[in-house]
Amino acid sequence: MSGHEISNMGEAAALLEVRGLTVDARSRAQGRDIRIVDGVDLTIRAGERLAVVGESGSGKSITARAIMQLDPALRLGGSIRLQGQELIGASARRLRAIRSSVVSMVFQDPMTALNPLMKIGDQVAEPLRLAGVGRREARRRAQEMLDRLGVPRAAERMDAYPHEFSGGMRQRVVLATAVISGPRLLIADEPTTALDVRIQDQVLDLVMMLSQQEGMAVLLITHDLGVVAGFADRVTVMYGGRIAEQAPRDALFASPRHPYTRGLLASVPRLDGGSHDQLLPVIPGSPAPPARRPAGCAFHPRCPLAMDRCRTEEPRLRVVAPGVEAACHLAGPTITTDASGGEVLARSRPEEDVIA
Amino acid sequence: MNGDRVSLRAEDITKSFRRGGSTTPVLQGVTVEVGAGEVVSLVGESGSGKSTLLRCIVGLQRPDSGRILYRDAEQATRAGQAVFHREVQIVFQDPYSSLSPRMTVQDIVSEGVIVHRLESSRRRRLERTVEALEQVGLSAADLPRYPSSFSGGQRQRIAIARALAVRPRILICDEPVSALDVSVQAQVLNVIQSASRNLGLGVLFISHNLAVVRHLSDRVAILRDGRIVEEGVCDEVYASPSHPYTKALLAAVPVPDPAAERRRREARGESDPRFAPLDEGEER
Repeated sequence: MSGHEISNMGEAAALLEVRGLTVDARSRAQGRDIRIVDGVDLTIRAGERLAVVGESGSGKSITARAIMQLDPALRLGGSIRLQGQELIGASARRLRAIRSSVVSMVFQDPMTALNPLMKIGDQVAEPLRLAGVGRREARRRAQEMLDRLGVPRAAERMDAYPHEFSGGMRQRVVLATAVISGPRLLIADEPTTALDVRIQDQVLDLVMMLSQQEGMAVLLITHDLGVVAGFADRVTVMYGGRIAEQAPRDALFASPRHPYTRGLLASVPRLDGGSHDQLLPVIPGSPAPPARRPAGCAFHPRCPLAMDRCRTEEPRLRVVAPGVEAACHLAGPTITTDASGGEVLARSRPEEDVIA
Repeated sequence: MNGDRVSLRAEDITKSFRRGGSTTPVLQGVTVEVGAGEVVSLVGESGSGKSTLLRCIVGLQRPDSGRILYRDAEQATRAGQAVFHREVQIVFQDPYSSLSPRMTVQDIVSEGVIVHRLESSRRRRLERTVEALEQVGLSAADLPRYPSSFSGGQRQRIAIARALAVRPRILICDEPVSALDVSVQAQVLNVIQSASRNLGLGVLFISHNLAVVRHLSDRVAILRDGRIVEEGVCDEVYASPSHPYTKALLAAVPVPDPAAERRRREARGESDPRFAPLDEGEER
């Protein structure tokens, strides 16, 4: 990877381009490398909001962290280009420059993301101070940002410490710290999972507001399909370290192509759900950890439609409808779906036929 | 034990915690009741007091005032306590810490049967253990295995099997799916729902997930700052919530459907999220 070339042609609109990303971790228990992320392609255009959906072991968080190169012990392969510049193999100095100006990240737990011994105002101003902005100006802008993100009486609270803030307020502070230097891409890893539902709604609205007002792209990592439905322009569904399906939001919810996506949409209880006397359709089994990823399609042991081919041949991610890609041998024009989603999931697989 | 009406009732429970010089009221006169065959959900955000209430009900904490009644009797006598502890079982949130890693599935699921001396012969005990496992979708083949060889969803089903093995009348579930992957939550919810419908179990379901609660519950109680602000038949409360707090909670739940999400956001109204109303607790 040569690294420094900047391509202007064709890719100008792509802010982030991930191609064939692999992430390997050394497993001491197994004495070998485990492939946690196995060939992920992602593209985010300027100002776009992409949600990456997955469960534990899907590789969604590791993919996000790989973009930031937060885990030096992991071995990355493939290509990650941000504004045309290759990040894999880039020098620590250049990575630092990129992390401080172009991309920043918000994590799940707002308590551990903040320094408990540092005043709120100083933490929010820190990225600006590191970029050489004067103390007075940095504080002024920090206060402005806190105010903009709905921290009441921001001026007084500049000198407060994190423990004086509630969870929702802390996440606002974390958000302010992440966006104060005007990044073009915000990576948010389950930013609202630890918060109560009303606060979750508010924090997501703030991220949405920033995205719209600043033209800031967002990569949102989540397991919550409801959050995705309100927030994202496009959705990537990950399973077993690979992409199962990638589609514009409305297309994904209207006609999910991958059996995993369909199963998820059908099995999650909804606030506007129908009769609740019936049992939920279930996806049998559990997600396999990366060290025991099944051969062929990683989802095949849980898939109601699995054929022999699925057990041996890994399906490639391919275009199955305009703008829609799915990694399933069956997806595509041959099995078009209707909006009801989960009809392919048998209701009476042995495992769920419990309590006779 | 007198009274054949199976019901668990927490009556007018109050509980405060003292720290330093100040006293924080956590429960301020809470009453909930679960009868046979019904699922009653207790919904609350963090700090609402739902965990404290649970601890009071099962005797891990002593309420300042109020009574815990089972089958219309207080748990005063030892005999009464024994019945209570057999007939009221709990499933905890985290199936990674609620199962001993050193016990096999057989040991875990049969422990209650042994403690309560429910079966005299080893063979009958085994049968009962297997029956409980089958009720949650596991089998006799799983008996010699250890919890570490199971996924989170399977572990939670083992925890439910442990509860069902003593043939309880009431099952208390404390956030039983919130630590689980989305794709396995439905398996566990179905097991709980089937247990209630088919075995006539009363279920007290404690959760912050309003969509899950709607799917599962016959009745629902909304807990806030140690008080129940609204309760009623689940469908009715969801269709027309009367308390502003219930309305705010329901309005904040995202729906996995883009069109419905658009409607929700429009109905909710606040165009500028900065001015979204904050909880009193928010400003601490």
